[in-house]
Amino acid sequence: MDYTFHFGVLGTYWIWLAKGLWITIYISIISMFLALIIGLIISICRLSKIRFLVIFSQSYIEIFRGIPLFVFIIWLYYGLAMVSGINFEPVTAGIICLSMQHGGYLAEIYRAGIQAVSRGQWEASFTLGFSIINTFARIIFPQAVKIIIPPTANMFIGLFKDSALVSIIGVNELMRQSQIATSLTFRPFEFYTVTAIIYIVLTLFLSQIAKLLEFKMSNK
Amino acid sequence: MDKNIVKVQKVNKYFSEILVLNDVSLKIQRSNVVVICGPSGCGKSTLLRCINGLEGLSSGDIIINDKSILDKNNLRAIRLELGMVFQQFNLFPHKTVLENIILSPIINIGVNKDEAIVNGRKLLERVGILQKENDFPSSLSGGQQQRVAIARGLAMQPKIMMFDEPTSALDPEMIKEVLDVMIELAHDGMTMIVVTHEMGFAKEVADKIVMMDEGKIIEESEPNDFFGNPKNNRTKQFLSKILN
Ligand SMILES: Nc1ncnc2c1ncn2[C@@H]1O[C@H](COP(=O)(O)OP(=O)(O)O)[C@@H](O)[C@H]1O
Ligand SMILES: [Mg+2]
Repeated sequence: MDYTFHFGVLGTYWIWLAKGLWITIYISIISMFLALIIGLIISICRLSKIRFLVIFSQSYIEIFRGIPLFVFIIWLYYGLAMVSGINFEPVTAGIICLSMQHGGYLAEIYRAGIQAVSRGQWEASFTLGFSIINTFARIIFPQAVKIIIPPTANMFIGLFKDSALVSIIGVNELMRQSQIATSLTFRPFEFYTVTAIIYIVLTLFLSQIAKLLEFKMSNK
Repeated sequence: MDKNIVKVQKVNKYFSEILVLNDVSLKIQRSNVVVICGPSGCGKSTLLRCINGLEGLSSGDIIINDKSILDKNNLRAIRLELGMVFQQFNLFPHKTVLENIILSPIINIGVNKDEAIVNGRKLLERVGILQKENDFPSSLSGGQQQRVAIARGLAMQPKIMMFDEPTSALDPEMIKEVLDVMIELAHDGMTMIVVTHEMGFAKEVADKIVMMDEGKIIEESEPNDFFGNPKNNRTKQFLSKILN
């Protein structure tokens, strides 16, 4: 092996990675926020007694959990754009794909959490005259949240890592920035090593937070 | 005003193919206490759940305070007039004792918060657990939780209180503290429908005892007749079983 390591290039290009990291964080947070909303809506549809909504939500969950994110991103950005004439900005396309897929995952997490609250809670609440919406918002959901938060935090870690995939449509997030820097410097090992370490460190950080939340929730 | 505040009229209730309430009719007068008993699975809970609309009827009608349960527009009004206490308490575990009591009056009747708190404390005092107002239900004993559940129902100022085996999930030493609260309530003139096998309670406060079996009302009489001179053989068997 006659490769000489040359991490010195980072001195010039670290700002590129920093910008990429910023975009990665930005995309992850926006996508997560949207996924939380999508997941809530889909899980409520799934648990409703309205047939159409149940079928809609089941289909949603099956489709968006089933499609590989890689395929989904390319389909939406290149395929759908071609037939529909809608051209999304790469960042927008990436956020749509991440949030729709993870919204599907979250819907199942929510559903499990909501179903874990006993039927007696619904009944006591109805008996006291609460509407179905107030029952859900004030009685059921606050109890379900305890069960929902730990897996949700873990799901966010998955989303954060998945966000690297949006580099394929040219979003200048961390992975893509390091690809560009590599192509300019021919230093793949240095850049991809540093990039990997950044992902690992942040993932570790996030999973510590997830553990803390889990601990807090189980002691409540 | 009809003297019967509850009228159950020829109610049938099926769960899929199974007939759980079989042509049940029952009238309850204002300020009366009706005790319902019968073997497990005979449809007692289902009857109460039909009365407050947690279950729909397959046929027949139930009239609460001149309002038919069949009219969906009446459902909320009926529930506001009907308190219910469950075997498993069903307190809201994420709310303190006082919050459990004041939440519904504030949200569902529009009582202002200060007033709800004052009223809630009075009720907690009445059921003897004012000192626990800021605790969470999980830190209370079963008997205490059930008394909070009764206070929570009363906070809605219901016209009728229903109890579904309120002492069945309690350790024996806690049964009395809950029954005492219920007896006091009966003496205060509350209309009560109580599913229970506590026959001492029935003797003391019931105006009428209803015996159910396999979804049917098989006997309906005053306590003296019910205990002294039961007409139905099933009732006799049932009584000899639970009185020993
Ligand atoms: N939601 C339900 N679905 C199907 N069957 C039910 C349901 N609730 C009660 N049952 C059945 O109806 C019958 C009466 O139940 P229940 O009213 O709970 O009896 P009890 O309170 O007298 O013990 C039982 O056979 C029970 O299994
Ligand atoms: Mg029962």
